[in-house]
Amino acid sequence: MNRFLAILFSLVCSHLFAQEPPVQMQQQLEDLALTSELEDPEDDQLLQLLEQLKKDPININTAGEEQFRQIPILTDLQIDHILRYRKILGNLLSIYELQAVPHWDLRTIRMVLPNISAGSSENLKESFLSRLKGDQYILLRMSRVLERSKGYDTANSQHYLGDRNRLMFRYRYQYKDLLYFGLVGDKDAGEQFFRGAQAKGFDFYSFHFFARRLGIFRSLALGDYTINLGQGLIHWQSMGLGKNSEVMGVKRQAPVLMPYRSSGEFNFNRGVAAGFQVGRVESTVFFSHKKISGNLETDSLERFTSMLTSGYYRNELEIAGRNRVAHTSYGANIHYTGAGLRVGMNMVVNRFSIPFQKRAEPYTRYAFSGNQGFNSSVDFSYTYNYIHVFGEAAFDGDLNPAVLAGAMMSVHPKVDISLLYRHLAKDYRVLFGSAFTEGSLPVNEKGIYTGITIRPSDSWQFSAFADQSSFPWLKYRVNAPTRSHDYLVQWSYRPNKQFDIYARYRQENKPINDDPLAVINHPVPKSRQSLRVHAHSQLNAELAFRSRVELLWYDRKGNKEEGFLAYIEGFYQGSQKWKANLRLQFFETGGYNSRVYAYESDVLYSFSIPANFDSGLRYYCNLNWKPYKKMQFWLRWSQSVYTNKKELGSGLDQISGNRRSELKCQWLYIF
Amino acid sequence: MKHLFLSCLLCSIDFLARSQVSLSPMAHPYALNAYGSIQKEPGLLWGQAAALGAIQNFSAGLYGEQRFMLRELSRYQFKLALPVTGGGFGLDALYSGNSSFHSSGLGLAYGKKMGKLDAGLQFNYHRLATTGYGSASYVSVDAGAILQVNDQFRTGLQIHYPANGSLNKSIERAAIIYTTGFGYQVSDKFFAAAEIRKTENLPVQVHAGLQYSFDQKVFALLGIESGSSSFYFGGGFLLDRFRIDVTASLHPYLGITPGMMIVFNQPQKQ
Repeated sequence: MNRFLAILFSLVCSHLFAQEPPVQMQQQLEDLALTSELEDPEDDQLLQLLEQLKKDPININTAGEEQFRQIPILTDLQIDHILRYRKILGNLLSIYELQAVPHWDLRTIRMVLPNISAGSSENLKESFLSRLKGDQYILLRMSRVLERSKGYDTANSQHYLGDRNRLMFRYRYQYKDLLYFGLVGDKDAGEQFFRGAQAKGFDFYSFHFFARRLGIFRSLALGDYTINLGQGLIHWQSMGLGKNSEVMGVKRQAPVLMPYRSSGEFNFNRGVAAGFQVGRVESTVFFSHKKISGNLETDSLERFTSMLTSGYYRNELEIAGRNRVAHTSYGANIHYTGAGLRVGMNMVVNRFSIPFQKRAEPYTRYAFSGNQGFNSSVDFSYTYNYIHVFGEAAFDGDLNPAVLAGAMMSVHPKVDISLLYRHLAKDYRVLFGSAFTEGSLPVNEKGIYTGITIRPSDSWQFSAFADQSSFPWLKYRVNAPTRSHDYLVQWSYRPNKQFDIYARYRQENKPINDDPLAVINHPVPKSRQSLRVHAHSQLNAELAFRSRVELLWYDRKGNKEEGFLAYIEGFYQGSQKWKANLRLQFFETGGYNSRVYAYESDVLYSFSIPANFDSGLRYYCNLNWKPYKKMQFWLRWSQSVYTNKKELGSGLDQISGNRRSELKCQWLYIF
Repeated sequence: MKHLFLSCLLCSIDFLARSQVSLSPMAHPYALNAYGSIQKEPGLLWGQAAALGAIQNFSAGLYGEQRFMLRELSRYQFKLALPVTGGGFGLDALYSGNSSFHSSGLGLAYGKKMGKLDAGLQFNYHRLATTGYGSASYVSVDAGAILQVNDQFRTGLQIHYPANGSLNKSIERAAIIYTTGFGYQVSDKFFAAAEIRKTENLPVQVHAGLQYSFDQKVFALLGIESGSSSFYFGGGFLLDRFRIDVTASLHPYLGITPGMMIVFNQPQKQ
């Protein structure tokens, strides 16, 4: 018991700020920020999920496959093995028994420990009234950049109409994973509040109602929700993480139907969805109708050329495209789950009130166009001993194919291998797919990915992946069919529970157009190499430190840039009421091409991954005060100070001076 | 008790107090001392303020070198360490150049031991003087930390930040310097260390060094530095309470820099 408490204590201490994603996930988010160039994401579903798992751990003796899938770290191979283990040997007596489950190594157990419990079986048949004894909270958040940008200058014809505050409101109720409902309101800086285009208060509202195991419904969603089908070749709305050092994480896994509780303004459905189960067959149907924003053009034919996903409606130009297009989406999924086998069929239809047609460019020749899109697919997964295979074959309305297949193998207790092959036709059309691909959409790509993880001891781990891709047709800023590659090696060392360190080298080569002013603008190789060393040390129950150094080399046809970033961050928890952390960071890069991303701690349910480029210092401080059990306050101050710069940013976001400061505060009340 | 020696590259930022104009093109042979065990290496000059947290003996040392065999480029550094309860104070004085052109500096440091973490602060005053052109000065702060991961491995962090960084009122500005380092005690006799230094507006430099001791009485050291492609070697010995070292650094174009160090170490009273 004492040993258990000691382990639990050390793990809790190592997750003092456990609303943060694990280090591996932070890496994945940094890589995602690099490809999407999204520094301040509004989608906080992942953080909400992690916080929920911390407060309401999954009972490993009663959880099913869908519940285990909520833990982002677990692979399907590990989920399958614990379910089989439980079926053969019965409930686990304690968390210690996890070490006996095949392919549950010590590192995985340490990572998931805060999110699981090993309790006795519960009565799962809970009436609806008993579900009204859950937790609910109200959260208010406000942030503001202190320096005034050009957009707020009223002399500017396209100036922002609102104030500089960014506001978010959330009410949420939750009873275990059986009942959720809530309301979210979000206003971005520059948007009006209770006037003008935002006469109803916040610019964005989201409502969700979600229940599991409710009468005949396995799941029921009203309001806003997300749908995830197969491996993402036809429709995927949860956060899709790409290549990273967790080389076994090649498979998309998330429940088909999930409530949408984020303040992100684009990637979700709005309507109704329901899931059913008869024996081993589960099915989900969904219908969605909402307005989306787009860039409209009217010449011979009214159409919209792009979807506006930022959610910014700050000036007349942005407001003009707001909610101009009605988007209707419906579809279904049916799958059979047997002994280690899962086979499913999926379909989705998307309709627009105004035709969608991208601007006529060579690279958009095969892009989706029209009022309606149809996609269907078949997906499967199968586990045999230590091998898990999966795949999806998809078709669009014109029967253009997209195929993805992969495998995860534990070839040795200390060695795991992953493989993934994708063949996505250049003319395959999809709107809201998100698969394990190099591109943002699963189109126009062929590739093979291989990954390996070796654990020579409990302290050491070596991971590596190699990905080779080819693109049969043109892409944005790539005027010819090209090939790319991406390699990564990482050594991780954890000699004890208080210290861990990893060193990572990554090399990517992705061709890009050379010179936009040239008569013939052809792609040239673009190489990006990075070397990172990152360490975390838990000194005692109150203090922890984190540190990183990263070097980066960028080369595009002789145009070279180098980047450097280093930071040290301290975490302090003086008592149950007070927490604080402080980071001091230095960066120096040759320009935007050699920018370095670094995940930053933030207030609860928020994170940021700014791009650090040019030269300067950045620091931030987070304070968390919990005066009593039902109430918490957060305060965050961050500032970037650039050397040798007199202006920051561009366009309407341009700021005079060399500093950019942000203040953020948040209040949470649980009742 | 047998010690297990593990090498661990730790990213910690070690900031050395240097101004841009007096930045040495050569690796300092004892810059890696910060990551060593002062207990295992009596007579070792403390490398950064945080190292003062671990000192138990009074020590004073003088290091001198004549860069590229040019008297005009002589450099002298005096360091003193005074242990107190829970840490130590230090004095760091530097003089480089000659009467026509010289830079000097004075630093006061304090290091504190907090379990496995030693942290330190050093306040420095720098002055640069050139005959006929006057002088310029500035104040800087070094903040550092050294973490003992286990008996074999240490990692250090130091930041050198010029508080009012202008060397004159027009152009030059003292640079922020960051250094990342680790020390690995392979055995009681063999020590390896490396650091990465990033000086503002200059490329990253890597410095690696080895030290071998023969019966804790005689020492040999060897190192290399990437920025200037220079390497150094040297040897020393313990004579009662003194340690005497002789070193030589070799720059591929500028030649040899001989150096000598004398350290007095007052053993701890039992």
